[in-house]
Amino acid sequence: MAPRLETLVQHIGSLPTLPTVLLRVNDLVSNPKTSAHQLSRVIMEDQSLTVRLLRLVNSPFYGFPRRISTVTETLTILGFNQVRNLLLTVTVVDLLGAEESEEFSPLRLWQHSVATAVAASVLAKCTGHEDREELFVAGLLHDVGKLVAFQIARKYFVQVIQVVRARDLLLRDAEQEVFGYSHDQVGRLLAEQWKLPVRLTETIACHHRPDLAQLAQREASIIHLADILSRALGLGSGGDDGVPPLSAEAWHRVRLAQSALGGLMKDIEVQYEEAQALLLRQTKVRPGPTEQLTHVS
Amino acid sequence: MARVALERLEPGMRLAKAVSNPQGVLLLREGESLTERHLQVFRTWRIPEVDVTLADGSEPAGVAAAPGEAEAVCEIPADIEAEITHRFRHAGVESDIVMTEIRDQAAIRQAMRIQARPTAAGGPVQEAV
Repeated sequence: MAPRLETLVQHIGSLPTLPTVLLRVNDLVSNPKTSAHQLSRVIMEDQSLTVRLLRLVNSPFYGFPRRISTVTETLTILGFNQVRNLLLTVTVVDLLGAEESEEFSPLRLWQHSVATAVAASVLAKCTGHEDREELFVAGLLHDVGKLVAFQIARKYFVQVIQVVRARDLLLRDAEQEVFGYSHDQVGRLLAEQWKLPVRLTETIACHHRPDLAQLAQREASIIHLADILSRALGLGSGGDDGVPPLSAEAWHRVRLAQSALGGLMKDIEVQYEEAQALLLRQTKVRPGPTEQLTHVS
Repeated sequence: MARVALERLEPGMRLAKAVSNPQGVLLLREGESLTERHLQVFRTWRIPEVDVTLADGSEPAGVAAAPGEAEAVCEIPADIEAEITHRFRHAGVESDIVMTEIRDQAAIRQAMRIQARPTAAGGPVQEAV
């Protein structure tokens, strides 16, 4: 029998945790008294993170008009929240990279996630949403629950994929059958474990049911649509190969003109290539945790 | 010759100028008589307007292409149609106009991606799966 959600939670601790620096950054960002100087000192303690952050903000994908050469400058130009989101962006892909298997490709899932992140960012721009970076990160993390399930309850996640293929179901429906819960719920638990901001956590948790969100209905709706657009364009794979139905309420909340979809989908395709090269180029593949819930009921 | 918006085109009107998609690929030659299927193709590619010869015949019909000659490039290729239809099988396209638009745009993007793909020998472009 597949592990219950509570059992899965207990084993989330066996997954890699966010780097300490990021946890401290999280704390500092939520404190209104924090200065740019304080925050930049903490970020710079991690040299590799600093290098990746500066590489990201100076990449053509972000397209800032001039070169940004220091962390303090980045914080001043972009603001604390945005920098926290950029740090998450450069961290999570490496952190949750997993071995490819015959049944499921974590790399293809990351491609789908990058495409959803790009789609969310393009939608944010098109609809005048003020926080593109948060939506980008939400897109990147929206399916993170699938990776958690794949890493700590692989046997059952593989069973989910087999059900998807044998009966031509969408992955979320197969998860409900095998586990009795789905990746959006698991994603919420990881986000809570990582102490991500509440709005971001809710966006991840409600991307299939934006109507259930309380603080982030618009953001969850944007990710709901972004997920559909990245699947429609066939960029990467979320574990199944079908486009799920669009919630009419979510579409209404995104506030996008139907006639804008064509241009927007073209932009997503172009930006996806850039973002993928930037974020997935150096992805390390690491073996899954030794402790797996193959026999836990 | 008159420029007519897509929504006012009717089957039987004759093209005064060839119509190409936004990438410049020929969809239908000058002189062809429009059919309902051609109009559907124009809608798919979002062709806003085309030039047709006037009904009173004051314009020459132009150089009529051999019937069916332009058909091959006229539509989204059947294999792409099939792939996109499969991809959208759970999406409820029939009852959702927004999803229909997403579907049509996905088909166009896929067709353009394949047209743009260079081939080593310059031969026919094959879809790599």
